[in-house]
Amino acid sequence: MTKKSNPKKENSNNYDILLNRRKEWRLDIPISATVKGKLPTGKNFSEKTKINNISSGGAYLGLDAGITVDTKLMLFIEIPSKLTDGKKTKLSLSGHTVRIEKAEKKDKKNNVAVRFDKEYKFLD
Amino acid sequence: MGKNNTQASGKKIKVLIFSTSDLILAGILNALEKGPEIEIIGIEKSTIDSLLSAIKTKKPDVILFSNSDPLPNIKEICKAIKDITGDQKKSKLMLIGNIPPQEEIVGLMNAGVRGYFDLNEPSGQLADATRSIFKEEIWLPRDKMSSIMDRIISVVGRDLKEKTLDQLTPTEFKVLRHIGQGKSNEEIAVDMFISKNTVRSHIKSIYAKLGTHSRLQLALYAINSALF
Repeated sequence: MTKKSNPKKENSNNYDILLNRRKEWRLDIPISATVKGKLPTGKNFSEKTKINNISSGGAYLGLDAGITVDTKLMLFIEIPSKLTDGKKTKLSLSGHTVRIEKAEKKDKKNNVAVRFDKEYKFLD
Repeated sequence: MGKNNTQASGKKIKVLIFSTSDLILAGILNALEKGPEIEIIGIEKSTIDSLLSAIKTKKPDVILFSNSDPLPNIKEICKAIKDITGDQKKSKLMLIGNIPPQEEIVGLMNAGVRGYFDLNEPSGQLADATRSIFKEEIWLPRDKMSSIMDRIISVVGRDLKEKTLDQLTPTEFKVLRHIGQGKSNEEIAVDMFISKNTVRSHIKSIYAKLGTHSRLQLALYAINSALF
């Protein structure tokens, strides 16, 4: 049986893929964070890194860990002490990787885009 | 100057053309013949997807995008091209068509367009426009430049205002800081000696001013404000 192409899709020039627009502003602030997750080998990892930008929908960060797309990650962001009057508080967010951009050079980190799940919590 | 530099270095400007109209395409090709340092490396006539693939593989210096009919989602297309060329850091996009209203041009420039070549401009200028775009300059019809710049300045000014937290009242700012500490509405009410309803009212106002409905986004704004 031959596979028929979808005429609607053809006519629309696949513009649908271009309509994914951000709902929230991204904050381009480098924030220190600890990222935890599982490598494809099943081994757990924990890595300190900088988040390049973040919004309530997701974040873009650098990671050494060789993870793949759709890996579940936990991000722990230390809230600046200026905001918490010295009290140590962390913002914990969970999400899944949606895009991995391999590092161009060996000593550079891979760039990882993470989409957050709905849950987040503050940890003392 | 750029022309001489390009010629002197022997490097040609690699141009990729997208046009759904054969007639306009013929005009573009004819006009670009006047630029010997311009090399047409590809012509796409069918779909945006094929154009995006061609940009990825051919890595052009300049993309000339012409569509015979106005596209309602042209801004999204430009953003998609920008996303691809952003990685390459070299391909510049110029639209060719009937010049749209200035508001739309500002939106398009924001979406990554580096130039707009009006079909009413002398065709001989298309090669100049292509060279200008290649040199990372902006090409817009001269008679529209002034009003477009005014519009850009006003939009940039508005965005800057929107992106800062200056619009919040001191009380709203305090509420935002509490949210950034992970406090619930009840805890904020106790800390600030106000009712829960008042806290809700402040949060509603902050949501409106910062253009969000996400408590997490407010927490991120608070973190942002504490970092600077």
